Amino acid sequence: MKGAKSNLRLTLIVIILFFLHEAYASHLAIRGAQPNIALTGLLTCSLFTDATFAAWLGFMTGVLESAYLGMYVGSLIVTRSLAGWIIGAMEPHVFRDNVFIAVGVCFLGTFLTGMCFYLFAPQANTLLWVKVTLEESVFNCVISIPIYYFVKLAV
Amino acid sequence: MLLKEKNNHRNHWWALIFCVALGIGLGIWHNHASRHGKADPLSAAVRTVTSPIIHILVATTDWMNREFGWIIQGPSLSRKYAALRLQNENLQAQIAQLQEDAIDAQRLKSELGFAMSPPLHKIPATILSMRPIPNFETMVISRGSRNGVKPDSVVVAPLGVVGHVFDVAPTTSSVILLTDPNSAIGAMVQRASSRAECICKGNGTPLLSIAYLGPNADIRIGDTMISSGLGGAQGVYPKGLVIGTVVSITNDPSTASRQILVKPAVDFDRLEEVYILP
Repeated sequence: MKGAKSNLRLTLIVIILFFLHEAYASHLAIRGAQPNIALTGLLTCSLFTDATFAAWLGFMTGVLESAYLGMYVGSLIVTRSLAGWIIGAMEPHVFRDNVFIAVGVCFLGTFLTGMCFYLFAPQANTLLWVKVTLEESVFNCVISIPIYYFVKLAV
Repeated sequence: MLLKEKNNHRNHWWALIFCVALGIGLGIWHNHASRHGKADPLSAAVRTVTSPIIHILVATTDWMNREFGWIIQGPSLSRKYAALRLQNENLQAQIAQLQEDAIDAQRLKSELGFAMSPPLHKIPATILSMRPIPNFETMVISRGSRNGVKPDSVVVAPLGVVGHVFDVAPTTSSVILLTDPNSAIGAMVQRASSRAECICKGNGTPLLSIAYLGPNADIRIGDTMISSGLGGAQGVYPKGLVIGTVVSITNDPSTASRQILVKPAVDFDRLEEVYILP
């Protein structure tokens, strides 16, 4: 019952962060670099649940994000599901009580998700893609700190 | 205990396989619907359900900026006001001159028997989400098929072209910006002595690059580029919309070609409202 409650809270957090991302992420942009609040929410929340539920969270994030992007629907859903699942599978093996674990997970998770997306849906300018993904990864690291404490408090 | 762990492990794999398979299926469904010029029903439904909440968030922030923004911007507001007042006076004078020129042009056109182009019908829309995924230059606006928006409808701002619609849901639409690498627009130089035609392409940076320009075409830094109404990857833009200004021309000796960059007239990071030409 406790697990079900905490999973419901994690789902709500991911949905709320998705709304915040769509409405405000572009306002946070610095020199063109922009965070992905929804993806950071997914990666952080996946640290607090098992692989099965994290995969579902990733699937849901993918559906929400792809509905707004309007293209690459399959690639977005698959990469988000994979990201959630992998971090969820790591959950029993990592010390999630340390905020720096969440920061590291968000950096690597964002970068690898971006690269994985590139493999599924290659883009015209590879260097530009890597640059934007790296910037996004750094930005996500920073915003993962408050999100981590928020998730920890809620769960 | 071990058996339970093994079962859990197996369930985790099944969850991943299920999500990935469903994701691929939804992707194929979306591509199939897009190829037939239709919206993917799941994406359309998700956007229709969630967009009112994002609309409320955006509207609340705009209202707070309008009502309380002066608290933060106080000292710079009077300077901005003085500059805008001066600019307004100059623009009033320019409008009067342009109105005279327009009347002359209309008279000459009708005397020469040219077909008169009707004024463009514009649908105003607010921006719900700018760059939903940071790697793509797209945005979501608050008008959809119920308001008469169609795929390939052109989106403009008061200062120039913004992009075109590529995905339409009943109440929202996705717009691909001029700066996206998948975007291209037929362009020409707005100078009576040149009128050189080319393609302005997005490359994922804030500047557009020019392609398919003749080797001897007359183009200079400071030239204004407008839509030519021809060509482009989409060929959907009407003639005469402002695209931007040429800011850099560099010669590439190895290919004997010129690399020309155009700064879009529209500042995409400060866009608040756009107009759709259905």
